[in-house]
Amino acid sequence: MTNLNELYDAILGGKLEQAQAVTNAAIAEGVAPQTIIYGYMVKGMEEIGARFEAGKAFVPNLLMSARAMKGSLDILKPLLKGEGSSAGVIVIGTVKGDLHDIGKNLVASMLEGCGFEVYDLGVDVSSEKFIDAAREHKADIICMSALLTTTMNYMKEVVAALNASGMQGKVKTMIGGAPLSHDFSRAIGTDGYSANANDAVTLARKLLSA
Amino acid sequence: MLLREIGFAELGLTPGAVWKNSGNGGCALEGETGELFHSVWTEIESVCHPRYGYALYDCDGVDDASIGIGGKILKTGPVITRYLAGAEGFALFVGTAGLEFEAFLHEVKASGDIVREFMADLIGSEIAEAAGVLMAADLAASQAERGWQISNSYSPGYCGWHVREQQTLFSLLPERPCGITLSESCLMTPIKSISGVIALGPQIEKAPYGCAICGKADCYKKRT
Repeated sequence: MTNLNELYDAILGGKLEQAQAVTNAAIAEGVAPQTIIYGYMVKGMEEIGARFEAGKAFVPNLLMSARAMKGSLDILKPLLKGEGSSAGVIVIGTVKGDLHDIGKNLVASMLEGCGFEVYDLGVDVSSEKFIDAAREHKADIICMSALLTTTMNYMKEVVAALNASGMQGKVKTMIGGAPLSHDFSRAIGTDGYSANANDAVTLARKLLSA
Repeated sequence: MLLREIGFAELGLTPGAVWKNSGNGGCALEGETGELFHSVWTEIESVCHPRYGYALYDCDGVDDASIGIGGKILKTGPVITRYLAGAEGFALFVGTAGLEFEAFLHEVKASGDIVREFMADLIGSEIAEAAGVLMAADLAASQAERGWQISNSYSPGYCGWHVREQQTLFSLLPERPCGITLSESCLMTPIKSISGVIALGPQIEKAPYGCAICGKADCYKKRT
């Protein structure tokens, strides 16, 4: 019988092949996907997140874990249709004028690894594109990124477009990027700011539980 | 404009040093992480053609916050401009990890492997910076032949030199120098590219750069 603690260890240690092997074995034995995900995989991600917050793990560790998690989730996804498996729906992008995407991609990957359904709109994303995607995918959160002081102000336009769209309040907004801050988030009226990819997962969960 | 393609080995980069310089020293480069990083490194090494280029101009003048060059004004801002005072000439430069690297990075992104993307991204940043270091060393050697020295290199987007000034800087260079283009918002493609100015002259000294010279109180780089 499969030892699912090995799955927890594989996620925590960022071992993709081991995580996928244990996942496949557990499925073959008839273990419920929800048990695999929430009993072991999410717990592994939570532990690596806690270690990151404590300074005992680093960005590469987080990413290796998210990669292993995503690899196993890809196996489980076809078995989850109609089970309401998503932690929430997020559309994410780097705002118009800005082409930097590594930070945004790290956040998207962590969110996806932690069970969110993520629609990545890429870089140079206009307010119209954010709003249209949020409407199309019935998003819970719009997540915006910017690396430059010259492009971060565009986030105000996205907030204004959301307010004008009729989805205000139904769709939360969160932001991240090197020059941003909690103060900036409050000033432009977004629902939250996160300083790193792990913090983004915590914030997204908090926004959806509010 | 002097243009040069650089051999990857000339950059003087090593996997261990790049990993550490990128702030990942706390995470050991071993096991699966180490294998992945070395694999990405080898792929980049085989496809990457870094380049640099610079154009030399006489100095038309320097005031408190701008320099005159090629009949145009570059508003370099008060923080940087004081380190350009005394220049008798300027080098406007670009350096890049190259279009081949950019194509590789796009491929990695498309694969959806965030770890390989993260690794390729940080290697690309180090390649662009190393191209700049090599360019400055070559420029210094050529200027030394006439008894001139060079300043540090200063770039739009830093220390109060607005990024939109890229347009003026690029207008003083040939079209698409080293294959680099500017977006409407003045960002460079390939994204792993650098640009800027270096002061030249017999009295020029290399002074510190970055946060060491900038008193901008509200800069995010000063956040702890």
